[in-house]
Amino acid sequence: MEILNELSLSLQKGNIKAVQELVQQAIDGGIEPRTILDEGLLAGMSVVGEKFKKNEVYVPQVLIAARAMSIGAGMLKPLLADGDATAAGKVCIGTVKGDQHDIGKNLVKMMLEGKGLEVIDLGVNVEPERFVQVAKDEGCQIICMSALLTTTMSVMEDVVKAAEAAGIRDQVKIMVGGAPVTNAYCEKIGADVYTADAASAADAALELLANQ
Amino acid sequence: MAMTQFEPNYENLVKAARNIEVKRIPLYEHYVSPKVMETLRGTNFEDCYHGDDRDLDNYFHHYCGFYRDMGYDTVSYEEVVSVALPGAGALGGHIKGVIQNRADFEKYPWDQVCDTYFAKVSRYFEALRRQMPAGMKAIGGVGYGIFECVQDLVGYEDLCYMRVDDPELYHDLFFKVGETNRAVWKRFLQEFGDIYCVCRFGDDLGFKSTTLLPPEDIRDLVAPQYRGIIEEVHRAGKPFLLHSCGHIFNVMEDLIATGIDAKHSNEDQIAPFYEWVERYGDRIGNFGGIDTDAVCRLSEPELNEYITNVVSRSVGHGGFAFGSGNSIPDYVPIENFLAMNRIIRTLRGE
Ligand code: B12
Repeated sequence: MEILNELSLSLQKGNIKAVQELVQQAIDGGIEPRTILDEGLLAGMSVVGEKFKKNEVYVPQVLIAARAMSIGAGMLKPLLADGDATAAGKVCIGTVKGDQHDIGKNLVKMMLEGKGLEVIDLGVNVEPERFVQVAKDEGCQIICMSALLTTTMSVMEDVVKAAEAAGIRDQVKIMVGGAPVTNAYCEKIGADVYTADAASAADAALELLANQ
Repeated sequence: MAMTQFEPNYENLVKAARNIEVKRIPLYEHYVSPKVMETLRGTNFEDCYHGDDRDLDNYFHHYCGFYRDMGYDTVSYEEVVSVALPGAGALGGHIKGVIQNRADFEKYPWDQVCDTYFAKVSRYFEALRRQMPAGMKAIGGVGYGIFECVQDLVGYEDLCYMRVDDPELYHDLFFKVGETNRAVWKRFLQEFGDIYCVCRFGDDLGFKSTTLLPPEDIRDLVAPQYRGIIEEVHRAGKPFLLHSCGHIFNVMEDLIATGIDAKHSNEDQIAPFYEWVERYGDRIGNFGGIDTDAVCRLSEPELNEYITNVVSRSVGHGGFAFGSGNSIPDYVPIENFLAMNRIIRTLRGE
């Protein structure tokens, strides 16, 4: 649909005003809210993610697109039917204890939301038990952790162990990332998925959910 | 190679910065946590930084003594410009930036920054001068680069929004910070240039996979400010070292064009040190060597292998100075730092 295409393009440019206008036009034109979300907003965000992976757009462009998306999605939310409103999955995310770096974590969060997932943001300096408790209480299928320092990376292993101790390890997938983190480290600590960038993280999360 | 006793000679680091290879490879750290220094000096002196002039003398006695005793030719020391930027702290403090719009920018006390800076920090530089060991000089100066100051005032994410919401303000901020910092540098060089042999600031422009801003913004807004400061540094007859973390290959040509003499910071997730040396060693000096992650995690035999490999692949490409790819924060195990120091000093013939 032409208008949804236009909406996707405006979102990619982070143009809030155009996104608001086009979402309104689409609603007024009788297009299903779920279709506007999927084929306009989320489709636009996917393009941004793909471009970010290839370094064709930079963090500022991702941030403004994500901002436009959340404004557009906010307009649709009250209109989505109960069944349609359910997110594709639920994730909690945070930067681990001792670590203050949050730009990457925030970006991963936006990309996950850009795939239609519900994300609970625990912020920075998050205790291992907190990840597990929130995952348990909120029924999250995935725990995402960000660590940028060699010391704080080891906290990720504590979270894996805490999930085992709490008896929920077989119910949650654990994803890790951040500057010094590697795939080898992910395997070593018994986490499930590592990705080098936020857009790939969102793809990987969808894949995990599809296989659950 | 004959074993020699270490005598510091700051000229060695100047040569490395000027891209001349030095046989006794100079050591360099951007920052060493005072906690690490205290452990190695066997005394607590960090709190003396907040005391009177006698305390300060004690502070710098140990601070400089650490570098001398560990085989460095220079003392890394800076005072960050943000101490003179009221309301700054959005870079690392998770607080809202003090400048969010044109009105904030207009009423900001830019013209007081220079005087405030020297009123606050001159006594530290003076104590550093009094305690500078024979044969040594300092490397550093006015800490925080342009992008970091702008982020400290606005916040990274808000800056990204400002880029589209108010492009003119976004532009003006970089130029205002550039002009302000240039004035601070100019006075710094007049008043304390004698204790410094290489000038440097840190401005982390990149992260794991690319630059934090689009490369054209770095070229058009950040690089011109570097150029102005580097002009002052060169006019004072000193080389300039840029410390920038991250994957910044896409802007290296623009950065080299600003007149930087050398560049520091490397991480293996981005590229091993010798790759920087191979790519840019014909034009600038390269500082760094071993990823901070590796310093933390490798055993002594592994460190030996790592460092020997990096050094052997880095010689023959102009000036370089060796140390961690970032810094020695307090979480680096002391034994590992000592092992790294022993290994490189043996390699360089001590
Ligand atoms: C900006 C920065 C800071 C800022 C942070 C501001 C903020 N609000 O976040 C400040 C100045 C505060 C800072 C402080 C410090 N920093 Co710092 N910092 C950086 C720098 C330059 C960029 C980090 C960043 O913001 N990247 C931007 C985002 C978008 O990238 P990212 O976080 O990597 O995330 C991407 C991917 O990794 C991935 N990802 C991230 N999280 C997750 C999670 C999941 C689940 C998945 C799948 C993927 C994923 O997706 C993201 C987008 O693609 C890095 C260098 C680097 N190479 O990253 C050093 C770096 C992380 N810092 C470092 C250090 C040493 C420090 C300090 C200790 C400094 C010091 N000497 O005192 C302090 C520590 C503070 C603390 N306790 O946390 C070192 C760590 C070395 C090590 N191995 O231990 C680094 C690597 C620099 C280096 N050259 O070595 N830092």
